[in-house]
Amino acid sequence: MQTTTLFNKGHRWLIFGRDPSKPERIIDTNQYMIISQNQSILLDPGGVELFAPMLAAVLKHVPIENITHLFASHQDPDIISSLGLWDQVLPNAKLYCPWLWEGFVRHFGMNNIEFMPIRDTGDVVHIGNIDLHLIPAHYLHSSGNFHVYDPVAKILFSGDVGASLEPAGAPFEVGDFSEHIDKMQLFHQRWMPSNNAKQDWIRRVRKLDIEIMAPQHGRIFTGENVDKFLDWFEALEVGIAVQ
Amino acid sequence: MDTHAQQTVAAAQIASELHQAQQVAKQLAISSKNARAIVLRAGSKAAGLAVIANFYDELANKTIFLAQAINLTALNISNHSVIEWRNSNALENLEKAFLLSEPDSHRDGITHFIDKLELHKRDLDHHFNRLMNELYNKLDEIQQHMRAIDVIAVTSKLEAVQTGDFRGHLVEMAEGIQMMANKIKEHVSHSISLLDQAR
Repeated sequence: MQTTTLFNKGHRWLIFGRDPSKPERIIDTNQYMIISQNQSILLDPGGVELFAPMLAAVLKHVPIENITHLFASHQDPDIISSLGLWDQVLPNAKLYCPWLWEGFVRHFGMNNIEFMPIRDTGDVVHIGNIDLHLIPAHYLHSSGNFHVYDPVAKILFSGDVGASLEPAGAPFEVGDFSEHIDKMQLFHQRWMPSNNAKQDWIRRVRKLDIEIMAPQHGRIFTGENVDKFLDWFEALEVGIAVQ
Repeated sequence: MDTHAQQTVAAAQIASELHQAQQVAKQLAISSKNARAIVLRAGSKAAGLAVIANFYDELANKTIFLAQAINLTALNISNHSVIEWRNSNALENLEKAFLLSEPDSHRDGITHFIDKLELHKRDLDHHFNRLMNELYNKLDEIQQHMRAIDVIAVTSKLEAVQTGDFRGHLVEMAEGIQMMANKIKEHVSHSISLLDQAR
């Protein structure tokens, strides 16, 4: 599992991904960890297949008792099917997840971790000495969906928005935006169901000061590529499976 | 297939086998009531068969009760196997994480959970063996009932000779009862072999 530091000024943002041991036919995912003081949160900790390499990777940075929070942007298996295993080793942790999915994600196994339902309008989570804003992103693509914004690091964890599908070993960061479009166009058109939801999210996100937009698949967007992405996404017709 | 998966599937298959055995046992109970009715109609000539008919009824009811209890035990085993399966999956993943993690990382934190899961595994194994023995004993008890029914069926065919006009009916009924008992024995034997394979 490769690890890259995205931010390290008072608190840290790490991205984990491009796992060489990942079984071939499962989609590659990015997992994130934010560490502040003696607390940390894992954002979309991943599927059950990734649990062992993820645990080994996070323990390079924090002792296990300092993993205090989990966040699941939505209910998909690549996001949170490892929950049953985290539940065995993080008995005192809290899982922040859209309220809509509680009865569903519990199917992954959750006897110890505390479920913290996120209301539809969003919330703020305190980790160490920072506040993380849970931004509504409903229908992008899941019907109960949130992103995470850190106003100090100016990073937006954008879940499936900005995701791209590309071969293993791809770089962590988008270089030339126009060359990157092909890798993400179909994903957004097919997975995202609602143009209204998309415009609502863009309006909300444009008000945020973002230096890094970090999706759950593919590469992260930095600097002017963030605005380029928002412009491109705004003009994109989604929900194409229904003619 | 993984051992836990085999045990989970075997327990579910046993529950299904015993459900079928239970249906046959219900037919057996009805047949024993019919036998009792014929014996009453045959009067004093069939006095010896009256005890036998009651005995059929009693064994059939015991079999129904046992089949229900086995169903519950099989369901418990199935649920238990899933817990064991999950536990061993977690243990496997933690051992893998330990091997993948670097010696200078915080990997000591994992060993505590590995120990805890191993202890839990031992408890689960112990409980699992107890449930399996319980299942074996109950299956064995049903087999004994069926063997008893078999013996009684032979005796009742001999007794039926003295019942004159009712002989044909009673012999036919005894054969029917014997056939049902054999069917139940088949289900139970199959269950035992499933259990043996999964152990």
